[in-house]
Parts: sequence; structure tokens; C-alpha cells
Amino acid sequence: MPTVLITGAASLMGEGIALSLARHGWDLMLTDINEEGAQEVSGKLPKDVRAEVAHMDVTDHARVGTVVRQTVDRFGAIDALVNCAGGLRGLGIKRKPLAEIPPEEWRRIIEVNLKGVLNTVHAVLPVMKAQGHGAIVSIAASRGLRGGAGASHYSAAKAGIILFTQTMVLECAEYGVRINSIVPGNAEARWKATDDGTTSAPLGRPTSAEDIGKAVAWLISDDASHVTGACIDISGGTTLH
Amino acid sequence: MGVTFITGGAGAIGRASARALVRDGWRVVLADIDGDELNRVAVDLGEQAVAGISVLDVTDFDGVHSAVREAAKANGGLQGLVTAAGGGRHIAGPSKVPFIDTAPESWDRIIEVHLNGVYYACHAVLPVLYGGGGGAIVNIASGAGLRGGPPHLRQLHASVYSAAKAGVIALTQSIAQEAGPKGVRANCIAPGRTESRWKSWQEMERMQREEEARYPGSGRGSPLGRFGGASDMGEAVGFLMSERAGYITGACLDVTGGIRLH
Repeated sequence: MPTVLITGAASLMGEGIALSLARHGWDLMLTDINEEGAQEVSGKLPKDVRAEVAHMDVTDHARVGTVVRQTVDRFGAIDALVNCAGGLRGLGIKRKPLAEIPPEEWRRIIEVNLKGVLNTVHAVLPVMKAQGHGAIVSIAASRGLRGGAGASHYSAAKAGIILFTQTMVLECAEYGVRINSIVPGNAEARWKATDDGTTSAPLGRPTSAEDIGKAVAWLISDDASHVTGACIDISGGTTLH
Repeated sequence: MGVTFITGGAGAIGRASARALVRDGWRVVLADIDGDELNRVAVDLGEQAVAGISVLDVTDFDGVHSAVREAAKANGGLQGLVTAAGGGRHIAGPSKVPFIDTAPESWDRIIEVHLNGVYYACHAVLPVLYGGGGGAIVNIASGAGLRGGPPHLRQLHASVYSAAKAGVIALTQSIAQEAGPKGVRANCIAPGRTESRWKSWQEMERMQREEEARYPGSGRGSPLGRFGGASDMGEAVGFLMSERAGYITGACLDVTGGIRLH
């Protein structure tokens, strides 16, 4: 079975990705800063799925390296990396106009959302290079395509992920690795109130964790073997608003 | 029109922006990390045009705030901001090696100068603009922030730089939405390969030949057949800062000479 390392696995989106990849026959290394939450997600997987959980703060470069080594020791390879750790309000930070954002909050959002991706790609890519294959998917956001009031730091970090992904295409190709990003918009999250029926998405409903999970499963599968550098909008059309 | 604060005011794009703005009737406060060069630019622009100079490291949050506070106090407010600090010198190291061989510390410097530095300046200047009833901001992003990677092979190993510049574009879009109702327009420009104090046209031609040798097809220049001049960027900044662009906000003006289409 191929192995995938997922960051932010305790989040609702992380759960959707884990469930989807489990269905597609992947072994899972579920990582999160909230280890207990990742354990709960692990508990929701079908019994025959091989999954392990590790505590990992994506802003801690050394810890990311340790978990990557652990994953290789336990599973023998890392065939895919899914960067799902990140967020704004999910990190307990309120939306604010740029002029009111304190520097600590600005740096925290950049650290978790953007540098977290740099850290994991930096740690996992040498493993994939040695294997001669691999696939990486990073969860950006529709805000990264067009910015958003009250979310300048989050928008900047997510735009950074999209462009970082594009610039990594050639280097990754040299190693036999594909790299893509996904931009959810108006997505469901544990910290959000349950769907109140209001959404600006042309498709009339919020983006579900399952929607994202299905897209990730496709992007890291051989069905997407000629797809790299792409940024796939899975927002139900929200990005256009 | 009024007084514009310019970070990176001693650099090629900063001083070209200052020149265009002064010609259009603005006065400028020049800030730069290089004090000697700053003085030379100020002398060149002339006493009438220069409303202040400030030796400033844009990665120093408190320093940026106190420089902006002083400039606003001395001029009874500010009406504009151009963030031209940055430049390739800061990425010369990491840009030449594959990402997996870069050190995480090198990413911090790139993000700090190119992205966080823009936030610091906007954070300091926006309240001043609001207090004066409005104004305009132009951030200097990069063609590298509009599209990363092939066939922009030059950026092959400058991944974090591209990410930071994409961040500048998205933060500008965010400011446009927040600040529009308060009379502030925010836009950015995306220069392509542009002459700088560190990089002459001859140097750029040499780089292009080297790239073409390494990656055939990559050396194709701009459809316009030349590199960007600093004055090309200055004119774009001058336009976006002016009332001629009075209905333009949240835009990112591509000033790559069309090279991005390749």
C-alpha cells in the first residue's frame, strides 16, 4: 500500500482527506499539533486501514524532520504529502483590517500557513527524490487568488502557497515528483457553526471536507499523472464572487 | 497629490518612482537602508521635491512606525505610500540552489524583507492616510509573484521569493477591499527583469545567455525585445498613484514587457 503523510489531520478537512484516501487504499500517517484530535480522526477510519498518529507542529522544522524519518521507518516510504495544516479563525485569530493586525498575529499566520508548507516540502522532498517518485498537494484557499478584507495575512500566505507550488514544478519533476495545490472556498470547518443554509457559492452549498478529500485522492493518484503545478478551485464557484 | 512615503527610495525602482511622482507634483519622503545612496538621490531630486529622508530597515517594525510617524508629523500627514524596498540582492544566495538544499533561515530573510516589510509599511501608513481622508498605495510585487516556474526558469530556485511576492499581490487585494470605503486605493505593479543598481543591462543579457545555454528556450526575452528600465516601473507607479487611475484599486499591473506570456 502507498503511504501518505497528512498535516492538519485533526481538522474537519483533514478528516475528509483521511477518509477519502483510506477508501482509495492509502496507508496514513496522520499528523497534527492537536494529537488527540488526530487520534479521534484515526478512530473513524475503517478497521482494516493502516494508520498512525504523530504530534507535529508544522512551524517546528526539526520536529517535522523527525516525524518524516519516523514515517519512513514505520511505513518504508512516503508516496504522497498532503499539506492541510493552516487556517485563520481556526487558529483562534480573529479577522482584522490590516492596519489593526498586530505583528505577532501577522507572523503567526505566515508561519503556520506558508512556512509550514515550506518546512514539510523541504523535509519530504529528499525522501521522494531518493524514491524517484511522489506527489504533493497543498491546501491553499480561494483568498489566495483574490485577497479578502480582514484576511490580508491569510490571503498573502495562501497566495504564497499557490506560487511556491508553481515554482517547485521543475525541481520536483527532476525527482519524479508532482506538486499541485487546491483552493477551497467557503469550506466547512469544526469551528464554524453548522450550515445555516446561507452560502454565496453558485452551487448553493458550502464546500465539504469530502469535496476536498475526493480532489486530493485524484491529484495524488496515477489518474493525475500528467498534472503538476495546477491550482484547482474547489469552492463551488465562490472564488468568482 | 501631496506627500508620498517611499521605501527602498535609493534603489532603482524607488528612485525612478520618486522621479515620476515629483514630475507629477508630489513631494516624497525617501526611506532606505543605504544612507549614503539616499543622500545622493535626495540631492539629485532637489530640495523642493524631498519632504524628508530616513535611513530605514523595512524589517524593523518599530523603526518603520517611528519613521512614518516623523514623516507624517513633519508634513502634516501623508497622502501616499510606495513600497519599493526589496530586490534580488537578498535572494542571490538561495536563488541559485535547489529548494531542498536551501536553509530554512534563508526563507525567513526573504519573507521578512519582501512580504512582512510591505505589511509593516502599510500597517504604519494606512492610519495616517485614513486620518487625512484618503490616499494611494502602490506596492512593488514581481512577475515572479504572478506566475512561478517554467518557463520562468530564472525563478526555478527562487521559490520562496515567488511566494513572498504572490503574498504582496494578495495583501494588496485585501487592502483594496478594506481601505476603499475610506478613500484609499491600493494597487501593485509586477516588474519583470528590470535594471537595478546591482544589475546592468549587460549583466542581464549575460544571465539570459547563460540560462539559454542551460535550458534551451528559456532565454527568450520580452516580446518588446528589451529588458525593463527602472523608468518603465517609475511611470507605472506614477500612473497608479495619480488621479488618472482614480477608479483603479486592487489591480496588479504587469510591467514585464510581456515576458510573462512566454
